[in-house]
Amino acid sequence: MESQRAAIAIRQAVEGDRETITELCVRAYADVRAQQPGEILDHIWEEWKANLLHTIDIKRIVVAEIDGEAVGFASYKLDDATRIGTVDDNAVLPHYRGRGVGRQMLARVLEIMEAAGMEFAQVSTGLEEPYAAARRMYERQGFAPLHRSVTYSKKLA
Amino acid sequence: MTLETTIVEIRQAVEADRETLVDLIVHAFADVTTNRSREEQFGTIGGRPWDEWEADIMRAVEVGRVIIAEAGGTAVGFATYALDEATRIGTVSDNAVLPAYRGRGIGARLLTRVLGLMEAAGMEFAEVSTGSDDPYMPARRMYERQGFTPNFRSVSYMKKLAQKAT
Repeated sequence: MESQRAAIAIRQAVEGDRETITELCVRAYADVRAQQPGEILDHIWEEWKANLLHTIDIKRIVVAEIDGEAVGFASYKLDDATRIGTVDDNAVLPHYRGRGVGRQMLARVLEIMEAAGMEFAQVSTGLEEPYAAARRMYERQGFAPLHRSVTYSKKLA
Repeated sequence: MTLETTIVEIRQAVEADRETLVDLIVHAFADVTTNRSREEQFGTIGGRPWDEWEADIMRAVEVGRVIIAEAGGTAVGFATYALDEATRIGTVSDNAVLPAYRGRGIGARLLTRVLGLMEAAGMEFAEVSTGSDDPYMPARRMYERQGFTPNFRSVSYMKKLAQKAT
């Protein structure tokens, strides 16, 4: 397939990318989310999309493109007090997975963190099956597991 | 020992409690904090020991969203929480009881009070995260007894970056 050999370009996101990134997120996370049903997650999901669209810091996002099409993104944060950079939301469209797009974006984000004087990088991901590929990617890039946690929810009266 | 029969009261924190809260978080979290385990695994973060990062939480916390458990007038536990009007999700944030006062239902009473405050504030859901490992088992049991169900298990990773010459 032609697109298998197309070059992956990683670039800084710009203000005009907001809708593209939000759309990308909805498409990229659909399969992961399908395995985590629940009312509270529907709730969080809507809020999260609104956040991506309106308030996320676009300067702290890189976009992956193949043939000019945005196929993935990664957002991050820098903390000058702890000197820890945090890899936040990041995803690749299902069709373009397994080709190293996520790995290239992560490598770029880590370079940016190093250039900004960060001493450590941290990231959290899921422990269930849909996140196995992400965990492998982080472990291959030299991340060591720090803390396992569980999030609970409860419907209030 | 009178400890077992001392009456425990839960009250709203006030600004004058701030240094008490700093002291409480450092002592109540000493055996469970991820700031400490992170330091043991990766070394000092940002040139400051774990208890200073812990203390920062209480120096910055909105006191109006903190409740304190007192036994015989001494602060022995606390719980902090956040309310999100947009999602109507209340988040139970940091909460802990001093080791000597555990196993007496103080954490459960703090949690019950926080959930009551969330309901009164119109929250529709409550959310909380805790560790998956052994030290957090009593916390997990407490949340499950109060009707919380697990919806996401996660792992955090850390990596030391290459140091750029400055």
